[in-house]
Amino acid sequence: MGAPPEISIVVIAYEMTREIPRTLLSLSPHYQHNCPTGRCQIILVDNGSRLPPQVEQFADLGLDLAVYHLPKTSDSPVEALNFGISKAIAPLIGVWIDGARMASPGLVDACARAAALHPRPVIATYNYHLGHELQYFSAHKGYNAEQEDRLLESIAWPESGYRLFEISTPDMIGGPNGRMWESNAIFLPQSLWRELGGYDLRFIGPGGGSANHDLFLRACDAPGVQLIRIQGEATFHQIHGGVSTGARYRGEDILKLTSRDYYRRAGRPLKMVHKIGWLYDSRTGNVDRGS
Amino acid sequence: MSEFHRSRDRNTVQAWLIKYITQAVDVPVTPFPTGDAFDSYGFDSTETVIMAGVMEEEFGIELEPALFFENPSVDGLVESLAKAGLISG
Repeated sequence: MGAPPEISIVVIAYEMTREIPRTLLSLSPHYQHNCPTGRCQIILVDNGSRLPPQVEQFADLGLDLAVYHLPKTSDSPVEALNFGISKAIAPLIGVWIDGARMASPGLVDACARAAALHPRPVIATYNYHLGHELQYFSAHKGYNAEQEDRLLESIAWPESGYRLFEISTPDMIGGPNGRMWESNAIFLPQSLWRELGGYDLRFIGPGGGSANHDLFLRACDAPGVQLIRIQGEATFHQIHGGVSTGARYRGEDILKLTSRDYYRRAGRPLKMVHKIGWLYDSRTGNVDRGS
Repeated sequence: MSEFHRSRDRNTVQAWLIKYITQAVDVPVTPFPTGDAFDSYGFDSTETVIMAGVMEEEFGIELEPALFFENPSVDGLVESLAKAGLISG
């Protein structure tokens, strides 16, 4: 029996036949720097898709991969998230609430290195959308999977993973040092996940509603934690008709609905995380601890 | 948040807006600059839309986010809400 993994990553999928292969490829040892087979355990939880992914489909990726199929009991991924977290065995656990997110090539290693900087780290990575405009807006102007496929072909992905930044738009308020209200690839120590109780089951709306915001806020508010933002890496959202980035709602409407959902369930207004925390530069290893 | 909704009269809405904003950003309650633009005291467009969602829950009304940007101050918003028939007084 080999050494236990250093990192577990939980990925939630629902009706993502097109997107999951790219997401898993982006987490594979072929693509991720300094992440040989065995360092990272991938837990893919399908939340009731009609054609759920099978582990055999990804056999050539060299992943330490487990695939679980849950019956569809609600539109929310929250139960699937907590199930996946319960299967994670590594001391550091990363969570993708949306399995349509591809990673940049150094993301996993950077998060592991950043986690070593503090006993109770909250590792936040930045969210990007593929395309030259945020998908909240571009989806209403005709941006679709075919255009996205051509964009990825134009940079010969996955040969040069960092070129994803050239064809994507950051989903940030005020830039990399601005306020954050979630991270769609968030890494916490296993002990902190347990302490927080995972995701809050009250967030039962489609896509989890504001469950991911709530988790991020609670993690940043936990005693003795240190927020660490990863610079130079990110996840990149593939368009797939999900709640937030499909064509159903406009950007402002999504934010308003999220605000309502959070207020209804948490009993207080949604807030963003204002503190910058530490900035970890994945390329240089430098840490900006602020003033 | 509950089935109970606040009264939709002008004074109640204005007092609620001031209380909400002063809890969200560092701006004095007295005297609150009701005529100043939201962003002049750091209450930006994202905060404004979040507030719109909370207002919908508290007052039981549906609000177009655009309404908050037409006259982006407490006085302006109250006026816009009154003109739209969403509040009384």
